Amino acid sequence: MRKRLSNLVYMQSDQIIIKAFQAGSQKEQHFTELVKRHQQKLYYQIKRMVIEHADADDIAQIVWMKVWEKLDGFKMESEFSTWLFRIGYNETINFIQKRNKLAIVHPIESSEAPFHEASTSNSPKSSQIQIKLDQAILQLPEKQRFVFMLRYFEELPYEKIALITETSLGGAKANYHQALKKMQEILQTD
Amino acid sequence: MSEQNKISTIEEEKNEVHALFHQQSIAEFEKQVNTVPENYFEQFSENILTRIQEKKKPSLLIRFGKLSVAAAILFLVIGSYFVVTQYNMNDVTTIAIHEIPSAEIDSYVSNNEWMDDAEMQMEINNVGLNLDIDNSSKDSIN
Repeated sequence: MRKRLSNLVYMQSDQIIIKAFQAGSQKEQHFTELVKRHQQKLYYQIKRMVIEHADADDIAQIVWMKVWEKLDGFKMESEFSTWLFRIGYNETINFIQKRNKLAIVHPIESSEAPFHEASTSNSPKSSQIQIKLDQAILQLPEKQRFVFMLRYFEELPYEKIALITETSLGGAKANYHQALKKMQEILQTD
Repeated sequence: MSEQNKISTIEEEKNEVHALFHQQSIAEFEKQVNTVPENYFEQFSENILTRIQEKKKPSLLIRFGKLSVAAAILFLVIGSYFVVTQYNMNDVTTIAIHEIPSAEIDSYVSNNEWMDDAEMQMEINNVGLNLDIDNSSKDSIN
């Protein structure tokens, strides 16, 4: 209950900032406030998808620039965070698809490297488990991976995940469970 | 669905994931995600605003590009004007009357004399006609 209430307060204060931004005075100050409120969650979600900091940073910057361009037209029909994550989702998927195309042309230069390939883990066994997890996550189709991350790490309700990924509620649930099933299969085959 | 039910569903789902992967491995994955360069988030909004400002301004290349195109057109127009006028000035040669040999003048006059005569005759005819008209009008009065 308390969590729900604090979410509501947070959402309303987002709206106040956006209205002030749309009113036209001190735009940069209000925008900075919005960035500071949401930058970490957005960045982490993108980084879970693309792994590399430089890529995540690039995508996050593009997303925020789009927010700056389109915030005047934002009608607050959805929560700001939903809208922000939807832009983030589209930009991340675009980025991954472009990278995949490049990987076909230049297979050595651009490929998704798991976090722990070169890491110095505590023990060989834990390192192996870690690599398996990374590989299982990276082998998921982009949408399933995005949905899985939003559900597992951000603990978002399926309703919100459906809005972000522009799918139905059933579709969002199906994506999550398919992701889980696929990871299971990947682990069994190894 | 109540908030409590939602949370328990998430918890159940997380347990399913933990049955697949060691919880520590997932925590390690998230730890790697959360690793960012120093002061990254502190400077992030500033970096974005700088990029936005840069995007707002037309780049120097574009601005100077437009200027240089305008300058090139102006240069072409002015340049071609000077070239044409210079060419025309060179083409017209001015010679004083005393510099022309008298034989050349004589030949010009004799060559053009018949034209001169014809023009004179036309003038006379015209004047004559006018005189006739004047006379006829006088006659009718008288």
